[in-house]
Amino acid sequence: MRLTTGLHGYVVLRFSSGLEIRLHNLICAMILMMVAVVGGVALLTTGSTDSTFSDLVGLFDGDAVSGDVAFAIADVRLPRILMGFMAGWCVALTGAMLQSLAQNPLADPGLLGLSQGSLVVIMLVLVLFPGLPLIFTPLAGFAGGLAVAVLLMVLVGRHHSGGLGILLMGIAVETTLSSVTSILILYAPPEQSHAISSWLAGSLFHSDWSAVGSFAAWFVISIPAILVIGRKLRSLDLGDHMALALGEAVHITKPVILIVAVLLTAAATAAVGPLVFLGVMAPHLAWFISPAKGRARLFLAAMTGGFLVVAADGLTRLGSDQVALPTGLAIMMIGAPIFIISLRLRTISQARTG
Amino acid sequence: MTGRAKVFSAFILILMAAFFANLSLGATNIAPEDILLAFFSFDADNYDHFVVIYQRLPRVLIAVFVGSVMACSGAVLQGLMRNPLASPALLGINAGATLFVVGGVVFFGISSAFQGIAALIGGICGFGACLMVARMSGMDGNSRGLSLILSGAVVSMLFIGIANALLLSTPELRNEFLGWVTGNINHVYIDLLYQMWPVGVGGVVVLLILSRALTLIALGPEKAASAGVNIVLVSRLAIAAVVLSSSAAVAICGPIGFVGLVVPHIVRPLVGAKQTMIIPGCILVGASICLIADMVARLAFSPFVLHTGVMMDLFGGVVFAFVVRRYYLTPGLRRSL
Amino acid sequence: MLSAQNLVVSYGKSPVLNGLSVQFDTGGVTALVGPNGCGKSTLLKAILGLLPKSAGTITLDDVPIDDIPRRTLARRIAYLPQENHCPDYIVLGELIELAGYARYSLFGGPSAQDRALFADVLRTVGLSDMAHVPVNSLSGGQRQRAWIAMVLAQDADIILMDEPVNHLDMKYQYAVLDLVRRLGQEHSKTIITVLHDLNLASAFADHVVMVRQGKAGIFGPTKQVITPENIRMVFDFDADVFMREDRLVCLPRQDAQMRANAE
Repeated sequence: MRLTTGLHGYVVLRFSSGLEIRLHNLICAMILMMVAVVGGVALLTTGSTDSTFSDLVGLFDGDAVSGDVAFAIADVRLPRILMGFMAGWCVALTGAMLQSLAQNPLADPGLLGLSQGSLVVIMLVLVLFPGLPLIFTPLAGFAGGLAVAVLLMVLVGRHHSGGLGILLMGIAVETTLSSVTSILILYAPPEQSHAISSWLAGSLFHSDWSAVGSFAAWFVISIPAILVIGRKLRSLDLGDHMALALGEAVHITKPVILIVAVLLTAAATAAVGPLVFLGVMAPHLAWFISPAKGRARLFLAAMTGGFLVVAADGLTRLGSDQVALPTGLAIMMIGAPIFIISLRLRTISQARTG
Repeated sequence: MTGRAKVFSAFILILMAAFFANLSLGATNIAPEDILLAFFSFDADNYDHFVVIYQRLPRVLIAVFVGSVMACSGAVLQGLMRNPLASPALLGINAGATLFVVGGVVFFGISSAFQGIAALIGGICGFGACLMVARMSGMDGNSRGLSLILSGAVVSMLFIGIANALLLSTPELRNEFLGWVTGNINHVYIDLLYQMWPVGVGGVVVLLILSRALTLIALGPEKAASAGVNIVLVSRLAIAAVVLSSSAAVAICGPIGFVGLVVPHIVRPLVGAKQTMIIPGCILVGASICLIADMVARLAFSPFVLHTGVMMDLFGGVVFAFVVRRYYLTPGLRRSL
Repeated sequence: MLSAQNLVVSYGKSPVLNGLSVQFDTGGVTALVGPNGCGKSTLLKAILGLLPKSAGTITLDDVPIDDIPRRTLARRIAYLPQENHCPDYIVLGELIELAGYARYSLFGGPSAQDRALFADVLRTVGLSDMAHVPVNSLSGGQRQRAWIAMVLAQDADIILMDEPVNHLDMKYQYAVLDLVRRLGQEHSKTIITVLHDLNLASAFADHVVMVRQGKAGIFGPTKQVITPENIRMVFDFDADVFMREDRLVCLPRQDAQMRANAE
């Protein structure tokens, strides 16, 4: 393993197997991880129950910490932070993958109707079978998301390269499904209607350790996904025909990527509700931090997504108690300005070099 | 009678039929004679007359207004942007208007008198956001204003999401607005119609005046310029008219999505490609379709009364899929508009 | 050796390739020529399986191409499409490295051998000092050479090219095709290229395949195929074909009769 400059002029860490990691990406990833950890720890000590850093340390060491504080830190905040991070990770990852699939920077699981598909089925299950144990809801979500993915593939047809068709069809499907959602909201009994709506806005309220556990199973899928799919995406960047010519079995790979995207989205949606726009924002912000490709891009996008959700959740809990700020809105509030600024800076820099 | 005159006569007849049908059918079916009586010799004690004049007529007027305004807007947008998918709902106009109305009510507690203005401002902002996102995401590969459609979809999702979140945080207001936000043609909103109709009608009149210039622009910028049309001015005026009048429609009954998308596609094959014909056609057909949709929403699922906007979205999404399939996914098909 | 038998490929209902059979010689440059719409590009795409075929078989060394896994195929056949899209952020060096896609393992990358090949390839096309430049910032001629370099870096023995010199200045057309010919002769690669201009085909190709209405009407060595009779039959115009200083030249006839016919 050594530090050298690659053919392309970037400084890389080169391994004996030939694998190269760009130093810039590595450094940014490490910084992001540190920021996430520091932020997470800081958030562990904030909230409506007063606690301090020494309480946190004390809990770790096994000292006697007051029951309230211990409960707040260990049983409320920690699972919540972990859940938020994992959900953001999955959604951002999905967004990055879909953007490569569709070759379009605006692709997002929501735009394609995948989240709506999961949502509608989950809601139908909640409304029609209220007695069903919660463990089945993620499966309902997968079924819904998968159905939408299959529908999209059928509607678009097999041999259409370029993602425009998928995106436009996605909008069509998403609109129809949104109206179904609206109908359910309008005609469900009021408490259910309110619960559905609040869940639609994204909420980490129901995160406890068992929820974290069941989500973690799906989260774990994302790791091999990043490793395998990350590389395949590089070939897809050159277009379907070129990818085929380079040796990528596009007709199999693309559906597989779509299915993985659906699984991750459905898991995140079932756990936390739809996180609107995160799938677009996080990969863009990650790109702004470090323009990576392939696996590094997926990894950085996922980290950014996780970090954004944790930060947004922190904002939610720091905010006043009267305004119930849904997590989805908080994400928007933090992410949107940064997103717009990053877009603006990017156009400026493009104008300068272009 | 020429073919086109026949077509337009058919449009007018259908509109009148839909008009009467809407007044007549409902929870209680009222005979046509009674309707005429209600109009010309109103009897304050007659319940049927009351229903006709104070419940159904306002609803019908709103439906006609919204349908024609949205359909015209869609036709103009599709012509200007040479894009079969353009419509006020998809370019952020509806979403912007919705968000600003909800925001205005939640944050500033504005009364219904100011909802109209909030909607107008919101529509402009929504469209502006759509333009901004499209320009900034820098998609040069996509032609025909497709980047605009995608940006519009994203912006719409964003704004409506924010609006929903805002409504959630104020449960009392939520109940009141839930119906409106999903696109609801209801006689209770008649005050807003009284307030906003000049904007909508004014917009449509402007579009009618501009229709000849718009036809020339649709033929191609060179042809239009050589015919002496000030393309920039006409386009900007037309878009302003579209944004303002559709926002006015949203102010009254919430975002009604797909009239603007669907109706131009129905009208165009019947009257030809000229905007001078398409815009009047859309006025008539848009109003008719909205009336028919409203009737179906009211009656088809009884005892449930479905909101027209929701129903439009449900079917509109399917139509959208067909349009996409036909215009974008058929290989080698000449996509002329 | 690459060959196709009775290939039928259609867009929608109408067949573009209508029972085409051809055998490509190993080594050297084969030009695919024919009038517009006759199916030249379609043939290349069908060979690689980029388009579905309704009937017929394509074999590589007597193995049906459909049975060869993608990665293996990519190591045998390289492809340069007519239109090349590349995201703005890709730098020349990265493009070249992508060529080895089929050779890299999951956690691996280019080997030392690969890297030597990449450097060599860049030298061959004359872009050695541009490796850090984004591909889309290169000039037209340079960009085409960049894609050719990428195709070369795939280290395949068969290269398919679809109109590789269409939009280039004449100087670059000849430079690129000269490079192509050298590849065929010195590096013993088999190159099959679609060419629009008969003169380019006559100047640089060793073999020519004339495609007409979805069938490979005539194929063989250049001097045998490019004759006035064949040109009349396939392209429907008259031309003089002659040798000038051991270069084959194809000159369309232009007389009053022809002009009258064209109107």
